[in-house]
Amino acid sequence: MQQLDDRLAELVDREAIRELIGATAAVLDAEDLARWIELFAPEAEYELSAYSPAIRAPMSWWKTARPDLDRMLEDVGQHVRDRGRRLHVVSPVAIALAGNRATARSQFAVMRTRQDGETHLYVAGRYEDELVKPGGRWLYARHRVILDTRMLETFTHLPL
Amino acid sequence: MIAMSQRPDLPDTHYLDNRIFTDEAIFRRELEDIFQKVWLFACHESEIAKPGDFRATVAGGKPIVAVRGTDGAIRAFYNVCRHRAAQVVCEDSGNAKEFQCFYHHWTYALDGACTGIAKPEGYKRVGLDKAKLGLIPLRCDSYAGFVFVCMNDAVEPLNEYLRDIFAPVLAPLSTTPLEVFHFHQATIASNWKLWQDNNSERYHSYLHAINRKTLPWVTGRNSPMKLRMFARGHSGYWSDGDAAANYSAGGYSGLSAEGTLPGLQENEMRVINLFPDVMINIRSNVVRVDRMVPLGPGRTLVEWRGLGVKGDSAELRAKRLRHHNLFWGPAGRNLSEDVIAVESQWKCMAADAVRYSILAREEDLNPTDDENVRAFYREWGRRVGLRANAPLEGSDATAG
Repeated sequence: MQQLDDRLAELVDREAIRELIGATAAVLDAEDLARWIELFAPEAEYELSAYSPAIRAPMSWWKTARPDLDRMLEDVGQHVRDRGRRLHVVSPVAIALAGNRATARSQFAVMRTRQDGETHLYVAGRYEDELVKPGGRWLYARHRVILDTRMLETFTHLPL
Repeated sequence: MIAMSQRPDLPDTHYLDNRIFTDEAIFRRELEDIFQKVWLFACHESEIAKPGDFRATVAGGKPIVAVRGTDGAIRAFYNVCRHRAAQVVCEDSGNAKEFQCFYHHWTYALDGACTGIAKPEGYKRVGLDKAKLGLIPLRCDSYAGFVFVCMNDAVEPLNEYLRDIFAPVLAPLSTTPLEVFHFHQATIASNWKLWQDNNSERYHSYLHAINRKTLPWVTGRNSPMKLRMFARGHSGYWSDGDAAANYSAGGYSGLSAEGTLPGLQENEMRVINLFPDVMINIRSNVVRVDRMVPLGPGRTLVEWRGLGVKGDSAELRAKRLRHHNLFWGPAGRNLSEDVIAVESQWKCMAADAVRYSILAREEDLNPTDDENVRAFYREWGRRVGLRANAPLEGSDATAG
């Protein structure tokens, strides 16, 4: 019976993490940055990175921890920025649980619909996340975006 | 009704005919008369630090490769096989003992010498001499760690071309060895000159949400920062006094000036714009370098490099990176806005809806003066033999 309870608890955790990653995509597509940042633990870090074959090294394009991350997001509305509409498509997630901590890995792509209505693939890559469960709710401790795409049609003030 | 082609009531030097940004023939002329007759930045020395390291790119519309030889010397060649003109080096960068063309396997040493021809007996009857068939070299030289190439023997030596404009940034750029930690590129839908304009003029600080808060001396009436004018169309801007960025005023208190490069005050900015296509922007502890590859009147490949000090601790590199990324890079707050601006300009210019644009600010070289941009177009006009405000109305006049 205990084994069944443990197994059930693990499935609940896995489902909660999948929901978190799905919710992340949904709030970004809605440009709801206030809700996006609520998915992060208080000292969590966001990173957007890619590999550069030109200098043969990984690059970090955006690496900011809270509360500075919150501060940057507050300013997004003040920037002149891309008005394309974005749609995240996220693959099934590989999750490794370790008590109240977990890692998750998923692949994703973002479609971008320009103001004229044309849709193009904007970026492709993967998420490599570290998660924590303080107070019974799964949150990002580190949300890392690793892009395969290195040349963006337009740059981004928004997280990906 | 005001006609779209009505000239502004300004001196000839103070406005531009927007067709210099959109005309195909002018673009071709620029490649020949400017890009193939100046020193062009190719890469930073740190990108080809070891013998055999190479960096392939396009300069002046031509494929080139810069390579460090076994003797430590940096050389540059047209990246084209002497046999049937295939591209010899197909990777952007790497390390090689020799180069071999993938097509018919002709091989070249790092000094460009042709060292091998597959099935050479087939050339015996015609006496083909591989000693005369090395990769074709370009002039190549370095200044303060920056590698430049030149396609024209008549151009002055690199030292002469850059010495004066580099002097104010020599200490931060060459006292301690730097290295490239960030490289990305994008093809922007705009003309190369509009990007250089954007990199040169400070009036567009109004565009940037961060600059509006952190650089009050840019938009103020007087500023300790001044435009600095140099021969050959080069320019820059920096302060001899207190013109440090006030990041805390913008709420960006997490930025650190730790690791400020030699010769600079904390949070000081120094920028030089090299004619025709390079900007070096130093924000106290980090360096950004822009390089352009013009692809067409409305298409420009822009390369962005970020440089820090070689041998940085992980902690210090993270601080430089944070400073860099707040403004620059594909997620930088400022760079994204700049690209949107120059693409908007070119879209309207290509429509030829309004023929002229204005460069008429005169402010005693305060940062929002347009004099550095006017100087750029004087040099542009001198080189292409066109007036920037009337390029299609006679070809022998010079603007300014």
